[in-house]
Amino acid sequence: MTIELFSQLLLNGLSIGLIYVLVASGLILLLGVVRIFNFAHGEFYMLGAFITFGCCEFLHLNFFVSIAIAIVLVTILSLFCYRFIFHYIRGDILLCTAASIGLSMMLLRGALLSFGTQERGLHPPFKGSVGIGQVNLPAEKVMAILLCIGVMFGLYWLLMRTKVGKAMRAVKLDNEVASLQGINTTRIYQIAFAAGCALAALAGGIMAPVFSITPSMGHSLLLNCFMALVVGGMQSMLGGVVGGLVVGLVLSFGMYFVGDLSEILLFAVIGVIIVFKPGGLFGEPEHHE
Amino acid sequence: MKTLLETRKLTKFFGGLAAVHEVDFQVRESEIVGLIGPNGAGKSTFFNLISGFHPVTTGTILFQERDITGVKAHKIASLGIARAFQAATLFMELSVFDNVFNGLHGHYHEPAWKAFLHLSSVRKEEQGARERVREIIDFMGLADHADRKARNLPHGHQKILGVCIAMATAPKLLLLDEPFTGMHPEETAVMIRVVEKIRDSGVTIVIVEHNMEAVMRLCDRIAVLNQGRKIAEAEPQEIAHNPEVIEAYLGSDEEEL
Amino acid sequence: MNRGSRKKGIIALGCACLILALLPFFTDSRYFMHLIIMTCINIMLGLSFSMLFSAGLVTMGAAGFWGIGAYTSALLVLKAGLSFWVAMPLAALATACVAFIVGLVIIRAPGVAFIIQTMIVNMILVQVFGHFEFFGGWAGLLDIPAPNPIGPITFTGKTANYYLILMLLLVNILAFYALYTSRIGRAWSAIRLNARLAETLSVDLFRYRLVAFIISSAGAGLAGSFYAHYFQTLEPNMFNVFKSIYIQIYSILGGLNFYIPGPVIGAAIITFVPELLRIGKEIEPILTGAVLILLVIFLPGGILSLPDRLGFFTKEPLAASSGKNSVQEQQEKRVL
Repeated sequence: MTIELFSQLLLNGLSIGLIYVLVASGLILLLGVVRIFNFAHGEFYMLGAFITFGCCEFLHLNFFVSIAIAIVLVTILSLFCYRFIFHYIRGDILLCTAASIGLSMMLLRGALLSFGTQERGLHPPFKGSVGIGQVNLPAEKVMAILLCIGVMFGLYWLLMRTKVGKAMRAVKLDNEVASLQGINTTRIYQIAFAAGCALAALAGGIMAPVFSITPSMGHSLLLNCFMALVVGGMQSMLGGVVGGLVVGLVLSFGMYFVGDLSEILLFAVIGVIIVFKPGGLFGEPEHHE
Repeated sequence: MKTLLETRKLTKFFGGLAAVHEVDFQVRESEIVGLIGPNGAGKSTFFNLISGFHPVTTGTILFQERDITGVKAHKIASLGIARAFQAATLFMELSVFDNVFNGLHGHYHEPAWKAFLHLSSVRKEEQGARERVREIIDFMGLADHADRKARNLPHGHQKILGVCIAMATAPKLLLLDEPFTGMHPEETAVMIRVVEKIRDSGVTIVIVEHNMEAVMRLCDRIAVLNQGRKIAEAEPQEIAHNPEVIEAYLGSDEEEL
Repeated sequence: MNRGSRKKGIIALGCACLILALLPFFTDSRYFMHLIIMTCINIMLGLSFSMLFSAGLVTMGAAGFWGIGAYTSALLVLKAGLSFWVAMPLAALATACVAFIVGLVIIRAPGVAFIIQTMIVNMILVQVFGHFEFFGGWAGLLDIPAPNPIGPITFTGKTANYYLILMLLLVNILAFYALYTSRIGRAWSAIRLNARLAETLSVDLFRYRLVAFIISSAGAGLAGSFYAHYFQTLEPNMFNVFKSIYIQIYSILGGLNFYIPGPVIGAAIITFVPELLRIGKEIEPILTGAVLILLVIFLPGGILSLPDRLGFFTKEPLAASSGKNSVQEQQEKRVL
């Protein structure tokens, strides 16, 4: 294998993987802080992509402005969902799974009926390709990579350095203690929920020029994000990063070497990992209560 | 008197922090030993190690002179070590009776397949179990509440129920984790009587507790942990005047001895 | 459970059996009979989900094991020439074996990780069924023969198949009931309500969870075997995660805390109501989704929790919880 090929596959894997990282981070945030498992997360991603597409194509707005609008709209929707649905079932995994599956069904079918099944593509805001070393990547993929990395650093800064972030981490550790310390847990839940869903919408916007836009794009993405969670564990952001990257890289290399069977290769990799670490690479150790 | 439980240089690291550090500890049969120390001293971790809920980093645990280090929690329970937890750990949705009934789980002799077929030998065994539950509930003074849901009991009764369930496993060693925390004076008096009754019935007890009055009253010996290490071990009166112990407590804003 | 309510339960079951046994005589509609048969299959699948739930495990992969039973049975008959009556128990056994191996790996996973891993297993199974020509590939298996005749009874019509599935369902219910009322069922309950406490009572969490996983999957496999020879066509996508989700809905709708009546009611409603209301395939997911959300918020204990919620029974039920708070609390401590 040549260096060129390897780098190409590597960068390709990164661009896919980083999106999984973004979306998985949102899921982990929801799971850890708000204790909610959100099956409809993929649909928020999809809506992010569609709104970005709509703003660019029909309102002729700047790409980054479109993403911002998408984030805002999806965040509003997510707060609405939190207020009327998740607020009541916070903490109960089974009920959350069921409710978010219901939400996912509604959003997906609604999108299918509204937008139809045709694939749409968003013309990339930057044309051409970028040369990195001897490798050529389309400009939008490079932009996607850079944006994702930027967002992850922003997320790190948010969680580690800001008051809100520290409050979120406190709530994740122990919400009773956190509220005793004067943290308004309800407000934190709302913020965390909104942030998590915003991440998904952001990811959707970023990917709008990269992948084709269809109503079911969120669904297939979500499945791969679940794999990322299984690989990396659901306990920490680090798990999300590692999990997402592993999935992206395995799929990228797998697509080249075994084509159709790349999914099965991914399953095999996951299988090996969970035999040794049931909770994921950075997850909880064995089911131990 | 035989040594029932012994730990040798028992150590547990969480990441870089030693929660329990080279603790040597013995409990002899029919004793009541107290384990005290400021918050964060490692007492609950120590119990978790003995119960098998955390893997040990280094050191050994011996029960009846058998090495039980690394044995899984459910096996340790079958060996005769029972545990009552700090926060009322109960089957909240079940009645008091059903809670204690579950405690007998480890004592059935008839195999599981016979239980599935509901053969008469199993039914007889379960009938016996039900009688045993009645005995325990009466012994502990909860007879009036036998059919109430555990969730509906007042706090003090919930803690007694926790001890009941532990006693149903017919243990040789009972680990009581803060049985008096959060109790009114009347409830405390009841719990003290309960512990004394248990000791009289031949069970060895180790108590982790902050309520000094109860500890002084009940314990034959007291060991003191601070920051994971055992800093003192003696009879109650001596412990009260031990300068290191007082230091440990004053240093961490604890209630005075 | 005391004598009085056990007697009532037996009488109720007896009446239900009588009505169900006489059902074919009151209807001529093949379509109606088909719906009833599908309901019975779905009930068996729901029972499978509920058994795992009773031990504190949430599975999103029940359909996968349904598929293993179906494909195994179909292949044993089509390729090995076995009689259906031999293939069926073998299919259930095969499903149990796969469940054993899968369980060894995934039961150790905590909380949400377990749920996702069951989904992944389900997806793997669908991929396996679709990828390999041995299983008929994505086009599936066609022309699977009906069960071999027993004496004068042939299984080409709805009626004979109906009685067969009814009997399988009855066996399933009785077996599960026997388990739930035994010390095994009590251990499962203990694990579900407070796993840590159960451990201190000598309950081997892993073993009991594994047993629940194996038995529940075998039940699904049994249903799968029947389905293969009743429907006579198998396609990998019949057994995908969506079906697993629906199976979950049966139990949630009926009542999570009612391990046997819950799936019965839930499966019956989900199988019949969309057909009766003639809801277009187009908007069906929207309505189902909305119903699911409303259900979870307003009636998390399911339909069978209504009497309790409305205060019909004044005596505290022995081992049932109806309010969402209690479910929430248990779940919170247990799964996360």
